[in-house]
Amino acid sequence: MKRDDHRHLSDAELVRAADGEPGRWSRRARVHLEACDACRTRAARFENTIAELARAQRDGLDASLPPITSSRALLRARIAETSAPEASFSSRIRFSGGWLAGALGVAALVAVAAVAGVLAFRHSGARSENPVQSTADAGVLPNRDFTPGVARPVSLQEICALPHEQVVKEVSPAQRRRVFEEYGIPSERSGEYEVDYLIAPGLGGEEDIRNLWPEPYHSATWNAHVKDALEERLHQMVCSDQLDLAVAQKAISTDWIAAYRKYVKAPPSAVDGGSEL
Amino acid sequence: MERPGQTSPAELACDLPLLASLPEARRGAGEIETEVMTLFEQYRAPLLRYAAAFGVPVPDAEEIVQEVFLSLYRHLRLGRSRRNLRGWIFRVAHNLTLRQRHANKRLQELVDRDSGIADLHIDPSPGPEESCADRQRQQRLLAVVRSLPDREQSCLRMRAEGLRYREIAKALGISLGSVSMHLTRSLARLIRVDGGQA
Repeated sequence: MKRDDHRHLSDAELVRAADGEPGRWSRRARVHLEACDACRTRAARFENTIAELARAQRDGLDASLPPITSSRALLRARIAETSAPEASFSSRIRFSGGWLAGALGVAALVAVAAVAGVLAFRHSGARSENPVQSTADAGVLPNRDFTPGVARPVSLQEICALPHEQVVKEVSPAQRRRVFEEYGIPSERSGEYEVDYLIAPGLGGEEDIRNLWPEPYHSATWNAHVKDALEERLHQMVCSDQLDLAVAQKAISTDWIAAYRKYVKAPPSAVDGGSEL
Repeated sequence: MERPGQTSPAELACDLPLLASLPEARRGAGEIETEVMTLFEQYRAPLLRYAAAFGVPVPDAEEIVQEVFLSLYRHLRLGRSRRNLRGWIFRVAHNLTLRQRHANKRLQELVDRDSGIADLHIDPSPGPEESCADRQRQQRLLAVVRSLPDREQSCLRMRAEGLRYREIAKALGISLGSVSMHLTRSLARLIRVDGGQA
């Protein structure tokens, strides 16, 4: 042991030794700790204090943490939402071939949009005959004529007594058949849809045909998982007095996608890597 | 000597194993989502504890954690640095926690009122398995931590969640020396108040 190794370690050296950060000083700390009972005792005291604090933090809160299930589902839905619009309209137009090619590209896009508009207009005229649309995201919103949403009289206490995901009400086979008939969905295509509550039971939604609609599985963005996340969020807000129950019911029954955008989707704040606020 | 863009051994040690094992080439959205969800499983509880320790109620803390991992997803999708990601995660959580606390005056009042003994998140009734003395000691420790300046609290709480010096420094945007100073000072105070029991 060198002469310097005999000097007792300072508190800062002991704390850094516990961190295991490599460096010249750590060699001296290691050598000294091996030989000095007093410093080992002090080092143990620091480490025990940290361990005790860690235990206190866990004991104090972990038992009251909500289950991770709904939180995980919500994050997945938000990530899906974040991934969906990969690029803005303008960023998709690449003018790599010069201004003429760019102009031609824009003209082509305008033409495609015009054709799509005509088709959409014609399709909307046929909606009363076939309420389920045929495009990729068709049916993600219910037909309000058939499904305006119905809630039962319910107290907050009743709603908030259970976590949202535990308030599950299976739709009876008879009700499912009626919903498919109403929406004109043939039985061979019924597997493509989930008969879902517009106003979720966890928000007081009633098992009434006016509150049930065939929600398509095929939508990549606005699917049942995303709606589940919205329901969970609204339930959480209602039960923490952040949102009135009637407002939540109205929002989800009027346009659940708009409600999702309002209550779930995080604002695009630049928090990553930013300085302390 | 470390060159710009080169990862030092210490920083590599701070990298998360899952991410460090993957190639640096661009990863697909699905792969990044899997990474983010894995980290979410691992760090949700520590981040909830961290936010709650600053007086943020659990529902708000959940929202903070969601925002942290959404930000992480965007961060990784943009191909930004993966170095010291745990420090990065805690940095975002720390910033959002302070913002939330600042925004919520009611909570601030509760925290101020709570400068003495009780921890808001501790069940006041002693558990059957816990000894009264043990519990009192925990409460005393938490009360002391609450009375510390924010910076010292942050260092201590992150250390208690297992973060190393470099990660804490990144999370708080301070130097290693400052982390060392804050930790040494706050730990010494804890031990003093705890009557040297720790």
